Amino acid sequence: MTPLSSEDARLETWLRRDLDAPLPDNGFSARVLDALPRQQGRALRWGRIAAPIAGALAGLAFALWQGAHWSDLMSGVTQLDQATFSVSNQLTDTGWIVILPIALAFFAIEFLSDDPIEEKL
Amino acid sequence: MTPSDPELLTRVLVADDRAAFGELVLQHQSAVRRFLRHLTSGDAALADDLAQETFIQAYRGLARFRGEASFPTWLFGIAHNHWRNARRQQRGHAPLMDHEAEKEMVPSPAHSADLRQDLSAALRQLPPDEQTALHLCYQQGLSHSEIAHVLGWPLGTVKTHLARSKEKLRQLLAVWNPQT
Repeated sequence: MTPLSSEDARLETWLRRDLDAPLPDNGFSARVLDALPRQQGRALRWGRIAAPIAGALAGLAFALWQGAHWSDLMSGVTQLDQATFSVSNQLTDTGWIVILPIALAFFAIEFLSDDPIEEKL
Repeated sequence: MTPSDPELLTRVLVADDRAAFGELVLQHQSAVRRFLRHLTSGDAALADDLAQETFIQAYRGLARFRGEASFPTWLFGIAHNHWRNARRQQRGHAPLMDHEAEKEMVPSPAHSADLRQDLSAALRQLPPDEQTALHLCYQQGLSHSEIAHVLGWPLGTVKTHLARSKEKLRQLLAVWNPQT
């Protein structure tokens, strides 16, 4: 071993000397847990996705229970599709300019509002 | 047996298990608080406040943790950001909680016979960036690439800082070298 490397090793030993001295918790972890925000975001977001699906399924079940046939349902879907198409055809460019930002804002609020602070890492 | 970080992280992410996050805090609080105490020049109260914010932000941003670095390395990065932000906010209001100003130090084993004291004094003479690189390398056991990740430096800068700081320490602590 050269004198330089032994000197290096000695220096590194000195620098590592405090490595085995962990700080006692002293209630720190409990304080962090108390201060944690309620993680409603994730549950709420899933709820927002699940609620319309559950509603649609409930509506479908109700319609079937009322004696509706599959063909009636398909006809309803077609009518809805035609109505949407007709409304969209009647909209002017100005109408789209108003509707699109509103729709985009809605989706942004819905899916981005609970996002955590952006981390560099 | 203590669950591993990935196991605990999975429990937090999948089941929003706060107890699992508490376990992560318990496992890493010492390293994070020590790092912040180093950055705040031993201000334990401020370091603990910043450490608490670090863990809270980690909890909020856990879904963004990609596992490219280890969990503690990721925490160190958040802690370093918090410290930098706090330092920026304090500028102009109060004395900076930066590393202590350079002090004159003459290693004097004949008088103090205390290597640790001389080492601490020698470390304080180094520029803050070099102190931080040394701390992360030798006190926290991070690799050079992990240090680069935490501090946002190029790998070459980390290596240069470490080599330069060790050279300075060698000179400052020459009196402790039996070969001199």
